[in-house]
Amino acid sequence: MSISRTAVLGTAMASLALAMASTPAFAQSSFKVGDKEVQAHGSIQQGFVFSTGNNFLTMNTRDGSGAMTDGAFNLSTQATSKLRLGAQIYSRNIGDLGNGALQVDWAFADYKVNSKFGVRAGKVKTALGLYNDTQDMEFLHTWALLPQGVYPLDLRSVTIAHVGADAYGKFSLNKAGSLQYTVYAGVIQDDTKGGYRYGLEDQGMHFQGNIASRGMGFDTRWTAPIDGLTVGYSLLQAKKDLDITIPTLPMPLHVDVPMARVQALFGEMQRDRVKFAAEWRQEATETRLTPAIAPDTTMTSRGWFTSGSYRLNDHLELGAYHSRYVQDVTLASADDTNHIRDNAIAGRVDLNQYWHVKVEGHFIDGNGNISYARGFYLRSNPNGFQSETRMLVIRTGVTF
Amino acid sequence: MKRIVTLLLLGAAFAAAPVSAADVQVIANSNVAADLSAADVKEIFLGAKDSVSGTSVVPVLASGGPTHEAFLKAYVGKSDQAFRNHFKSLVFTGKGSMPKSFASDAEVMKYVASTKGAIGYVSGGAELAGVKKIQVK
Repeated sequence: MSISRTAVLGTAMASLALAMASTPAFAQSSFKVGDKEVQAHGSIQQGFVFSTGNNFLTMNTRDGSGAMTDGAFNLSTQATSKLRLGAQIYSRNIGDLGNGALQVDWAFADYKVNSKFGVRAGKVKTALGLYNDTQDMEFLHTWALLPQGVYPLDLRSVTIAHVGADAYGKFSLNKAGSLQYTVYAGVIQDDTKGGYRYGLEDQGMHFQGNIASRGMGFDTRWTAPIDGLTVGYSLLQAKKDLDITIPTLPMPLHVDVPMARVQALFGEMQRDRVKFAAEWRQEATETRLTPAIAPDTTMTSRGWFTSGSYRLNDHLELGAYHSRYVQDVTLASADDTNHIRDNAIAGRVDLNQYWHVKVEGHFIDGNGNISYARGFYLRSNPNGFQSETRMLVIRTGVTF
Repeated sequence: MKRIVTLLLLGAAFAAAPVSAADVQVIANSNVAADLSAADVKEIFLGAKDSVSGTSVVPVLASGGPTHEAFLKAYVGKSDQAFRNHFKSLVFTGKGSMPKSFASDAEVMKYVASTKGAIGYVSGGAELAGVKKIQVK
């Protein structure tokens, strides 16, 4: 753990939080460009992870690691009554992932004709399940780590955003509540510093060029007449292809994924201080290799979680979740190399409206398949995997 | 784990505090319709509805305190924390702006009175000046 970097970051976060404590409760960092108000908001998070069993998320967590930093900064303006413009940059350094590189997280023009119909064009966060588009914003959640069976932090870029267009809107169903929809299509950008590449490189593969991925999908969520209840369904269907080299193969291998379909079924109940959520996720991936060194395959993976949290007062929130992931549903889920189960308990302390600290315990069983690494990587566990991992995560963040 | 669950259940049992719509007055700029449904008010203050009868509307908030809490309880159905998180999720996905907020009834009224389409709330006992009181049906 780099103490000096962590100390500097901690000092900066504390200073920022104290400075913000004297501003209005709903942070309004803004300036004028002509007669238009431009809002500026940002966040920075720092995590510390200690584990037994296995190293997690490419960090050396068994020795304790503070290599878990991320942050975002955005600018946005309501250019006209219907047109909204904005962009956000995001950077993260999670073990060997991210490497602190700045990336455009989203940047789009949003033209809202009315509440029933609007369009967004540019790089847009993908609406998928409960938290896909907000998974980086840990300050929104009770948890230091979202349930990794559905929202693997290392694989975020596989679904996080697309460069293309969305159509969206909301319809009233009168006494039956309301229905919100998003339909989208676009290119899913390659993340050269993400877990997908890292896991394949772990196995000695080398990428030639970028991973080209295109996708389309929809998300619909029903706000029920029961106060606080939302349920929904999302579908993302993508296809991608990539070229890799493998040490044992004399020529490059072309990997064609004509269909990668992600489905999410989810629900959330939030009333006053209590919140319950659940999500079921299924991913089906069809793969063809050229030359055909292995038969065409279609693999189906499933993950789900249930969670509950309660806010005791303005400063303290407690919660727990159970998360499961099965890599290949056709194989025995009891096998450690085919499942990851996680029971987590969490406490969140809001020191003020801008600064919070979370302490979270994880009791993880299984480590998944290294061919499709998810959290547990061969490179950071060179002596093999333990079947159980106990983990303490402390994460703090400042938002303005 | 059992202790956590017990704590959650006990906390939930003692959570509710008695507040009502009578503790707050919903106010608006003079160009906004005088009557709104409770559903309209909720949608406006969640950033989901930005026009009423063809008039653009914008929510204005109190920074905190009992009036703010009473308003959220009576009209929005979210805790202050959940309400803030709702707007943060909009801001950090690019889908909305953080609403204006003010520390006192007088400041809320002053802003609402001078801003076309502004809708806010003040305490039930506040004397209204330059703003329209909205009848929430």
